[in-house]
Amino acid sequence: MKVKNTLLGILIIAFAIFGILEVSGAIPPLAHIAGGITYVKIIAGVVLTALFVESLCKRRFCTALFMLAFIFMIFERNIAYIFALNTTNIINNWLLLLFTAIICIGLKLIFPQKFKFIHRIHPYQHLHKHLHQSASHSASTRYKENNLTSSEEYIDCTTFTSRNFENNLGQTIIHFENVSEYVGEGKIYIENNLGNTVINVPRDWRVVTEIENNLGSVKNSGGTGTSGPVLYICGENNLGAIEIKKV
Amino acid sequence: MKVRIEISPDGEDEIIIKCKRMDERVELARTLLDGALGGQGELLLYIGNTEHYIKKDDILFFESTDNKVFAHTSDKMLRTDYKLFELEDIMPSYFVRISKSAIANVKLISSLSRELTGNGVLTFKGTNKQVYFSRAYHRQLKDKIEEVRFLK
Repeated sequence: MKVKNTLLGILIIAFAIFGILEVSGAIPPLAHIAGGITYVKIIAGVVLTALFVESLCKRRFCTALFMLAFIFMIFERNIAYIFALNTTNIINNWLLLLFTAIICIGLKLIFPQKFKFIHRIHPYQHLHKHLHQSASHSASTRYKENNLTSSEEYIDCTTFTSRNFENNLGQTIIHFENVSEYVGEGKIYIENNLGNTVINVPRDWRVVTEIENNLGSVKNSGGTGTSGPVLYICGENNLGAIEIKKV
Repeated sequence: MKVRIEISPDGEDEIIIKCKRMDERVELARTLLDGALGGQGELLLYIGNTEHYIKKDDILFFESTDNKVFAHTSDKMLRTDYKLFELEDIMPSYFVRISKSAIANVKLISSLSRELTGNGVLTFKGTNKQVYFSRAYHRQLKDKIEEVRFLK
């Protein structure tokens, strides 16, 4: 993970230096393509297209829409040139972002959870080979989202098989109740964005984690344990903090 | 206020307060009686398929999650078949709504702290459990705490 982050960092810095050189005129633009297109635009276009495709694959339609909007903003002048429009400013950038956000809100209201379940089951497959993605499993997975607030979540171990949690800019604390009833093999998927998530796991449980950490902190205090029922914790941590506490 | 006791061997025990109108004294009498007697009853709750009979006074709070309502005691989480609005009616008056999804036992609250947004968190005596209350119910909660705990 550290090597990946270092590489990404170097690439971003190289991209910025390249951009500065191009703006200062040290590197000439490709004048013959679509009325003049810079190398920086090409690189940004490729990256955004890749992100657009990835978002579509993960069924993150809002992210995909925003990627499309950014691509349009970058190549607006070239699109106007190709279609021989009189103006190079087809739509105001702020209006474009506003309408994209409105479409996203509309989509979220129509399909409140549909987007989430499908891609969030995938990480379990890496974690646990025999876990298959069946329709019944998708249906039994519960989802909880916390935006900007604090929340305490109590999981009843008598019925617990898998749970999804999303925490955006807030604090989520997860507790397990009726732990003597837990049979093991439970799965928790967490997406923590710029927030703080604490999972209080009973001391005698064995914890298996696979959390993708992007510029955040993942702390597992108390170790993973060697015996006892298994709990799988996986997900993403983007610029936030996840702490697994043994209690 | 007159206090009269009628002994009738038939039927169940019942306390009726007769009054011209609902005022502070009547409300206080109701709260005191409720406090003294209301928590003696038990509630049928479930852990999995096992039935548990839990004293109402031992319940810290009720919380609705994923269309199910759970009662929390200091060490257990039990499912109930009642809806929250039904629990508001059947539980003693010191159980008060603290958010759209929770009802708390005012008698067992040990601390109340508010966040910048106006929402806040309640902690309970003898346990680490806590529950969040919403800004809209804060005034009602404070009034009930004063009424029950300090007999305003």
